[in-house]
Amino acid sequence: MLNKVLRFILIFTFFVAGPKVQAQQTTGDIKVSLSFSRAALKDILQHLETITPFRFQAAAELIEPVKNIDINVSNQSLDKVLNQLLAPAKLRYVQSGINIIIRRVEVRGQQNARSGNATVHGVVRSGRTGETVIGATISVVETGAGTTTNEYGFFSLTMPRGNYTLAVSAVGMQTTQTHISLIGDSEKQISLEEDTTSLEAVTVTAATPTSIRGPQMGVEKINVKDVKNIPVIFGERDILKSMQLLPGIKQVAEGGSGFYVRGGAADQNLILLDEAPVYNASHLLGFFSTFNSDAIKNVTVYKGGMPANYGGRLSSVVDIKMNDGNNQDMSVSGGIGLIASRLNIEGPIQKGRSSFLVSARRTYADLFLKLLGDSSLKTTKLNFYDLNAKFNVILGDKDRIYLSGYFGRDVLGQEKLAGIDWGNATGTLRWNHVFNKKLFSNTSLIFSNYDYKIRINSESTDYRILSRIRDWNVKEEMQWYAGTGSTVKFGLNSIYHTIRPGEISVAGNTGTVTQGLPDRFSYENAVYADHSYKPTDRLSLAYGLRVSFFSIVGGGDYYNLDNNGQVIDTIKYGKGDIVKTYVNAEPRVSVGYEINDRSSVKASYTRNSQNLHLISNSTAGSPTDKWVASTNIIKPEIADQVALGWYRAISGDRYELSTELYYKNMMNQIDYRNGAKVFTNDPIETQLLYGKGRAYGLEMLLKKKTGRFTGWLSYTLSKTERKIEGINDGKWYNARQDRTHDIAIVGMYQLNPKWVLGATFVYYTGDAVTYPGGKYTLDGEVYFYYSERNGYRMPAYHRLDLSATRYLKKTNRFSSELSFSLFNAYGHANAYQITFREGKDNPDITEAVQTSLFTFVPSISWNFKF
Amino acid sequence: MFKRLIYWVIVGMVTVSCNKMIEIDVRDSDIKYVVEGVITNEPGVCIVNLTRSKNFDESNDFERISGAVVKVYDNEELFELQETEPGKYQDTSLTGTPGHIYRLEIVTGDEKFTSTCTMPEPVAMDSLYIKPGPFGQFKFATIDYTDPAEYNNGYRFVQYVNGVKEPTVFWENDEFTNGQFVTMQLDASAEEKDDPRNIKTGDEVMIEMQTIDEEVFTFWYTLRSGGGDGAGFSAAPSNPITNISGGALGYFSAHTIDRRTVVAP
Repeated sequence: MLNKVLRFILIFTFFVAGPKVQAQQTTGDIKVSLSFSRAALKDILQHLETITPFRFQAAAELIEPVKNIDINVSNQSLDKVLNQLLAPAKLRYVQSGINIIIRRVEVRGQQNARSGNATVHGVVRSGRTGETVIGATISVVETGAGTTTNEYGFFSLTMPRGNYTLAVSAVGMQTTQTHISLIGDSEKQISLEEDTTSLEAVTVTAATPTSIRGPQMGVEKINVKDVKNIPVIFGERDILKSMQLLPGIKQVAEGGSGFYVRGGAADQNLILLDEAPVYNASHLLGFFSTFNSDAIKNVTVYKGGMPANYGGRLSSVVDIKMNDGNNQDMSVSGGIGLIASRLNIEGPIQKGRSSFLVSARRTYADLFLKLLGDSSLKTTKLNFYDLNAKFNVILGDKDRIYLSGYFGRDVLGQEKLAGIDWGNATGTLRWNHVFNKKLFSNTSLIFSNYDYKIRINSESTDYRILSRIRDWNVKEEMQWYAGTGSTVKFGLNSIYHTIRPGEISVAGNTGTVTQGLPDRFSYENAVYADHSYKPTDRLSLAYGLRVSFFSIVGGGDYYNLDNNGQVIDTIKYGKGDIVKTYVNAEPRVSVGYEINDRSSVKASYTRNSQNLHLISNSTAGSPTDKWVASTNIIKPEIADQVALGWYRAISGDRYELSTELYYKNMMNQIDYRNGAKVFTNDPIETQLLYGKGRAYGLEMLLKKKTGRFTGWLSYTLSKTERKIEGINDGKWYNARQDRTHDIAIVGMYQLNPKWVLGATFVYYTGDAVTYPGGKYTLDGEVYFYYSERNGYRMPAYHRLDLSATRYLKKTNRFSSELSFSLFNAYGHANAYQITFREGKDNPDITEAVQTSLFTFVPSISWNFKF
Repeated sequence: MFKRLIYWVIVGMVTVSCNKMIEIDVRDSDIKYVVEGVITNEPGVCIVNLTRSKNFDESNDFERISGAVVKVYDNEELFELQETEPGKYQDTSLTGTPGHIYRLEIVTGDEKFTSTCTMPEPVAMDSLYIKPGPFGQFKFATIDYTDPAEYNNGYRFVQYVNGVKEPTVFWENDEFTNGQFVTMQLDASAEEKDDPRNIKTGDEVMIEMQTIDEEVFTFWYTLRSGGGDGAGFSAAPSNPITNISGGALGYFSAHTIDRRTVVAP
């Protein structure tokens, strides 16, 4: 059955994307019949869009005044019809691919072209909430030039002096046009209205989808609104889980929010929440992510080709921006679900100038345990909560200050037996300053803390395990909009890490034996510069360099080890002594070439280094995984990635196809030795081995972005291997996350104004696992003999999830919706773990037993907003 | 213990996790010699079993290797073991003494396997009793003992219920409990109340507490942590670290023994 699915997908991809090389149609080729009387030009063009493959683009003020047209033609060429329609209004058109751009007969933008350039700058905001809009596209209707807003909504555009129409568009927003007279440098604040679901045409749409433009590749932007109707387990919307439905991003374990990007390990993802690194992005052993989607504005994922302003992790950057808080009106939203409830309050402090946002969430899974009636489970705690808060104030035209914080904690345990609690806390203070029309600055002071505490009570001995990583972080970034299409970013970043390794203490009946491990200190510094520009209309280029300096600072003991990992020498360092500094130059280059308006090719090379390593031995992400910094023995991990991509828009921007090929080489990869002790007070280095890794693959993504049916189809073909001396006889072996095929199909359908349906289907090759090849007997028992590391496969994983959202009655002030979802709708038992035992009925044989977690998980939640 | 907690959490959350038997297809593996050498402080226990491993999908009837030359040196005093059953080599005159160094030498065909092990000082149980575990659902054999502060101690516990050996490998060392009064509960991983592994009222529970040397501790520790028992908790299963050199699997352990029996209330 899956072969069929695969074949279908390939055929489908080919059908839509493939050799549709039919000669480009021109307006002369197409014959139309029209009959209108006293009609507006806008309506006629709208009608033409439905009967021809073309899309019309025009400044509203050009076409809106043109009314009372009578036209009656049959089987005329579109070229003639358009001339007949446009000429009386002193308009003309040019065709660009399937786009037909309507202009005034005399193009105004160029009148004063010789009188030099001027710059317009400003901020794009949502009109309703005052939220800045990230990644909004600003295009100049007359010339086709354009730019996008940065992560604070800021833009700067330099053009020849003249009169222009700016078309501003963003996901989930209505495209707006605004007229500017660029006589000298000026400022323009732009506000966008949120999209109502009606599908108005004949407004200017971005001529070319953004994925095609520019040199940036390996990037996905996720808008919370886009993924709203994707079904998820327990009905909790989760941006990290939605992200795992994209090519090249794979979930760690069923239901989990941990992920692998292009063959990298789970710790090789830099997750930033308002610029603060989040060390453990999961709640409840990974079933939920720490990001409450109510508080999130925008997520950008880089799988490769990261710009030089990001660094410190090998595989990916997940840059999450919180909402700023509505500065126009007070607004309250929230939801009640089976597992968790949420509440979000935001509003202006001073209208239009300052606002706040508080968003909280708590689960009550432990209440269900109480319902089970088992007395032992009644005392079990199983909950998490998180709190996002943000405050921002606009100080005059040039400055804005943001203060944002996140605090989340998991509590999990049984009163008498054991417990773990863990959590992240982050705080970010940022100051945006516009030095001048071309120079934007952001200064951040960031605090980040992650810790876990474990207690295990046995009859007389109590264990306590404590681990913590705490950062103070300063960032300064300048963005210089140097000229048409040329942007320079440069900055520096300094992080001071204090790491308390998993320290174990014991309280016994006769006193305490605690072997404390001292705190580890380090500085992670970096400077970077990045320049992107367009040498020609079709070619765009970005190149940058990041230089990282990682300094390990005393005091404390550092070790020399022999080949078996035994300590042979201990070196003592005093407080503040530099143990070692690792310097890594990380070049980043990417280039894009627009073959035409509909397609482009790109290539990139990226080097990343990583000095914080997560040491993990569990099958799924566990809070007890240990963060350690590079030491004299643990070297920085380094990855080089090259990627090639092909991007194509189909039927205007209704469909978008992207295909990327990548090869990644990783150095200084870390794994536990065979038989390593996870809980020990010995130096962690004694338990580790080092080697290299490689990953390569092909990723395809076909998106349908507009219409009542939206969604995407994603396919990844990949290979991920490791080679570590001391594991698998020093030969290459599959990394656990090596999955040959990975398919995700996501669809959302607006059935009618009341109902939206959603479905996702996921299929991937089973994880690479180690199965015993042999067995032997000792002390009357049968034990298993392992030969090849990860030489086998778990059964293939597949699952269908469904969701339905019912919009309830809506008033001006109040709206609410009911969401139903069904996780694993056909109840396929996917393997979570495979274990081996003596045959239950026949002790003379050995059985393999598969444990499955989630089959048919229904959920319902009610969300409201007023 | 911690894994059990996580297990409960997952069970609690899902309430419907399910197990089923599956067929897996494994390739033939290389066949290895397996040495199990045991010397205790009980009179006449000096036994070496020599077997070979098998492919995963074969029966549990293991090949026993006859005709090997097996020697044990007790502080360099030679004892040559006799084959009393196929693959079982024994000497009834040797009684282990704490502090003595034992050296094992096996020659079979072209293969030679050697190992050394020091018998640790004995540590005895203070008491043995049956107590409900922390979740109250199951009863566990519970042992109190006092760890001597002066050595690095390792322990292995073997549980018999009505004469039937519990397959779970129980071990403990004093990395975090040196010199402490320690209470150890043996959690046999029973999953249901009527599991035969669960201790019921009237059951006769016998515990054998072994004091083992560091390398032997490492063997039992890595046997379990590396997934040698098939429990599947390790992301990267591996073979236990053996103290036998020459390419054989298994272990050579000179340990002291303390046995106690209790009837479950």
